[in-house]
This record gives sequence, C-alpha cells and structure tokens, in this order.
Amino acid sequence: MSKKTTFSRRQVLAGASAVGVVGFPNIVRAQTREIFIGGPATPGLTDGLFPLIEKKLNVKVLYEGTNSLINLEKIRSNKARPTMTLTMMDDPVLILAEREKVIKKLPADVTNLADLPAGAKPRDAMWANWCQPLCSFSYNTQSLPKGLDSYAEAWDPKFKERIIIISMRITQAIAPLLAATHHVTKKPLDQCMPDWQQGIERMKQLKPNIIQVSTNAPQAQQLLETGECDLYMAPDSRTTLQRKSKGAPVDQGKPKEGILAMPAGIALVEGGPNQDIGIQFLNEMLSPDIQAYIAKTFFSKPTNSKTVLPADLSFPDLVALDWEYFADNRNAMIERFEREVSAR
Amino acid sequence: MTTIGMETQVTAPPRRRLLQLDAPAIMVLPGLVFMVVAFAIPVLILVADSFRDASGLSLAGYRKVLGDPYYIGIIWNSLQLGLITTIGSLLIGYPAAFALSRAPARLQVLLFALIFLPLTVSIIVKTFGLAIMMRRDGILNWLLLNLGFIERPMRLVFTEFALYFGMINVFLPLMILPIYSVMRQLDPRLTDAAASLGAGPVTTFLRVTLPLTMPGVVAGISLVFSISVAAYVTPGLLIGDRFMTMSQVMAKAYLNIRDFNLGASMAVVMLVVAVTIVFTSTYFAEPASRRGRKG
Repeated sequence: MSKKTTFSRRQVLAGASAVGVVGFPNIVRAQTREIFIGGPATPGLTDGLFPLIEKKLNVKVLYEGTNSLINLEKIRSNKARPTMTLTMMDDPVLILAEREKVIKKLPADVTNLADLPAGAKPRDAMWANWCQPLCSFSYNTQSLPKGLDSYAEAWDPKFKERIIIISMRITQAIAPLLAATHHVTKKPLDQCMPDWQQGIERMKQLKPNIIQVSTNAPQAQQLLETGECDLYMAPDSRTTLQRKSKGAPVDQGKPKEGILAMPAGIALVEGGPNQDIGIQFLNEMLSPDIQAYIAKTFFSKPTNSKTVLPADLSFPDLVALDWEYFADNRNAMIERFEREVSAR
Repeated sequence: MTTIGMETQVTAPPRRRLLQLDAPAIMVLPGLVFMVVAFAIPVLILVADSFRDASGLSLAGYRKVLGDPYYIGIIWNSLQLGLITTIGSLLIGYPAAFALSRAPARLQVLLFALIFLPLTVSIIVKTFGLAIMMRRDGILNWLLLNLGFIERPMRLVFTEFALYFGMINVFLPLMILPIYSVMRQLDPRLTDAAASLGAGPVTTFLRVTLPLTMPGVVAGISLVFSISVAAYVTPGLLIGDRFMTMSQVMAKAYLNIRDFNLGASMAVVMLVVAVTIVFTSTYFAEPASRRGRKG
C-alpha cells in the first residue's frame, strides 16, 4: 500500500514563497524602490547628499564610487543587462558614453532642467551638470600662507620635490597642462586645449619639482595636509574646500590665469532598471534647495539659476572648456604625459 | 537415463566504464575545475586578445611592448622590482626561518605571530601605514635623526628605497613560510655529523644545510618573485606613476585607454617572464638539492 504524502496549507504557502524568491528574483527585485548609481568617490555623497534625497523620495540608493573612466568601463561591460540606473561622470567621459549609446537623453519629466542654462545641459540634455567644482591647485597653508598668484610660480626651483601632480588619467590633470600651455602660447586658458603638445614641453621642465604623479587622490591629499608637499595640482574644490572646512591646513588656489569649471554630470543609463525612480532622483538633484545644499557641502557652483546661496558663499567666474576636444585627444595626452612627464 | 545436471558458472563480462576515477583523482577534481574556469580559460582569452586588434589578427601589441624602449623600460622596472624584492626577502627570510625552526616552542609561537600577523592586515592599510612611517615627520626619519645618522629629515616617500622596503615588508612572510616548513624537517644530527667529520660552520651550511633546504628556497623564490613582479597596489601607493610597472600598463590599457591588445600583450609578457624565472630557478636548484641529499 502506497503511503500518500500530504501538505498542510502552511507548507504550501511557504513552498510558494520560496519558489517565488528563488525562481522569480526579478519580480521580487522590481518591487523595491532601489537604484544603483555609479559615480565619483567624493566624500559627502553617501553620507550627506544621498540620505537627504532618499528620505524625500523614499528610495534606497546603492552607490559605487570610482573615477569616471572606470565607471564607464563598468557600464560598457554590463551594456547587455545594465545594473546602474544613473551615472555621475565628468563631461568628457559622458561624451564617450553618449557615443557608445550607453546613456539616454533626459526626458521632459526632469522639470528642473528648465532652470539650467544651456551650458549645464550639454548636447540637448543628454545629461545635466549637477554642479561645477572649481579646479586649479591646492596648497598647504602652513608652508605657503599666501598661496600662489600664478601657476607659473610652481616652476620655481624652491619647490624642488614639493609638488604632487595628478595623473593624466584623471580629468582634473588638464588644469596644470593648460596652465603650462598658456605660459608658452599666452592664449587664454579656454583656447589652450588644441595647443596642449606645447604644454607637455613646458611640463617637462617641472619634473625636478614633482615628487609624485598620482592616481590616488586621498593619499595625495593626505601628504599635502601633512606638509610632505606644498602643492597638489590639481584636485577640485569638492576635496580641497571640504577639507579646509574641516580644519585641514589647505586652500584652493586662485591663480590669475583662471579657475576651470569641472563639469560634474549626471545621466540616465540606457536600459537601466527603475528609470522612473532615476528620473525623480535626478530631478531632485537639480532642484534649487538640493542645489543650495550641494553648493554648501561640495563648495561647487550650483547650476540651477534659481538657487539661493547663503550670504557667506560666493563663487568666482569659471573657465569653461571644450570637453569634446579633450575626449577625442585624451588617450594621446595620457600617452605623452606618462612618457615625458611622469617617467623618471 | 539419468541426466546429470551440470552446474555451469557463467561470469558476466566486466562492465565497461567510460571513466574510472580513483579517490585521489576525485579529490583533485574540484580544484582542477576551479582552476580551469578561473585561470586557464581567462588566460586563453588573454592570449587570444594579445594576437588581435580592431583590424583582426595582429602582432601590433607585441611590437609595441617589445619594440618600444619606453615599454622595455617598464618591463625592466617590473623585473627589477621582482628580483630585488625576492633577493631582499631571501636574505632576511632565510636566517629568520632558521631561527624559527630552532627556537624553543614558546618562543616559536611568539615569532610566528610577529612574522605572520601582518598577513592578516589588508595590503592597502599596510602600504598606507608604510607611507605614513616614511614621511618627513614619520618614525623612520625620527629614528635616523635621533641616532645621529642624518641632520635633517630626508625625503623617503616616493623613492625606490621606500618601494623596496615596502615590498620586502609585504612579501617577507611568503618567503619565510616555505623555507621554514623544509627546515623544520631537517635532522639536526646531520649538521652534528658534518661537524664531527671536521667541517666548519660555513662548510656545513654550504654543503649540508643549504642544499637540503633548497626545495623551500625555490618555493619561496617562486612565490615571492611571481607575485612581486605583478604587484600593483604597493608600487602604486609607494612610488606612483614615476615607476611604471607592467601591471600599471595593463590597468591603464584596460581601464583608461581601452587598448585591450596592448593590455593583453603586456599580460602575456608578464606571464612568460614569471614562468621562465620560476622554472629556471627550479632547474638550477634541483642539482644542489640532490647533492645535499647524497652528501
């Protein structure tokens, strides 16, 4: 006589739940208000800005911070099945992302776009600039209480082995290269890009003063703060002024040649999950109140024209660059820079 | 008529088995499968990538890596890094392993902790710590100043001294462990016998101890060299882009300039260099080890 197996109602329900979780994870995941964002490893994002927006929109943000080119490589690798909803990268890398069709045009649902100037929503709103950090150089205020008036002073032999240069693999490295080009060509910074090869020649003369060419921004910042070097060319205000506000002996240089606008962009990843939440999140990033928070926290120029800044906060005029040219020539710049400036 | 029943014993033909595996073969199987998936297949893909670029089959990557003085300099940097780290680790690690194997049990526990506890610390934390130690206001400069070796703090960070100091610090336990494991099996009566036959300490070391511990030395050299020649994090933090290594070129090729052909070619060159050094050291060490066993 065969023994029949019977299931209780509770067992059936438990089994169905288990099958649901194991067999249909996409259905389970789709119901969570969760987005994955890839962006810079800037302090203040996950421990300040994102929690504000998460609370307001009732969403959960999973975030991975790295440099823009590595971020793009991750998106390329997952192109068939994107995991990121939003990506935060520099404009020159977003240009590459647009060419490879891994980001999509921002929709009209991002209503705050209307209050951004055309320059802050490049290429017909393929992405938006959520802020414009100030990029020049950073200096130790104990060894250089008055800072430098000009980039040209960095070539002075008194700075022998006292300067850290950021690697050309990091977008901010364009600042010292353009300053060097300006010294040779005498052109304004915003017109120096096509003559960058002349800048390399001038950068070679800076080699005795260079203690390290770094891809590791936190380490370089730490060495600047402890006085191991006097100048660090060139982190942007997101790092320098934030550290200054916490009491570190550093300040952002205001060279007479000009301060560059580092366009920090945010874009929707093509085919990424939970696009509706991504759009809400992006819109919130561009809202006047969040923009004011960004300006205060990241010491970066807000892009929404309706932003009301606190009385003690103002920003200088910034130099805007042709990032398309930079994107097209970046590999050549990296190659020459590493062979002729980085190498011993 | 009586029929006598004959009992015939029919034996079934042996069952054919497609695959017969004994116990050791079964035990090695998970490791083998893992290595095929995690190592062999990626290496094959890498080798294939090194022979093709956007236009199809190409040797452009190898021409660049082996024909350009800049990249040859980078290969030399990596070789130099691997060799100096290995030699430094061996010179410090061998006597340390000897002391460890001869130490009383309680002291051995303490020495083990001193040597192997650093392995539990993340390489990034350790390297950051080394960079702090080598600052102008770091403990190393403080020590040199107070011992009267220098008059003012000297620059140590981002120098080749800092690089090799850090690399040896990181890789030393990997040299000590295999030498120690061979040394502790060495019968102390062998050295006593050599001494009783008139051999001095140096002769005993060169003719008995060293040859018999060669398998451990070779294992240590292979381990330290093959890992240090490919090191990425420690050189990156201790000296940066001013001392480019093969690993840094690979990272740049894959992550920054998207020249996969260059990255794969450099990876294959690195693999060949590491394998060649490991096999060569084994080849030269084997006769010495045999001599020791015979002697």
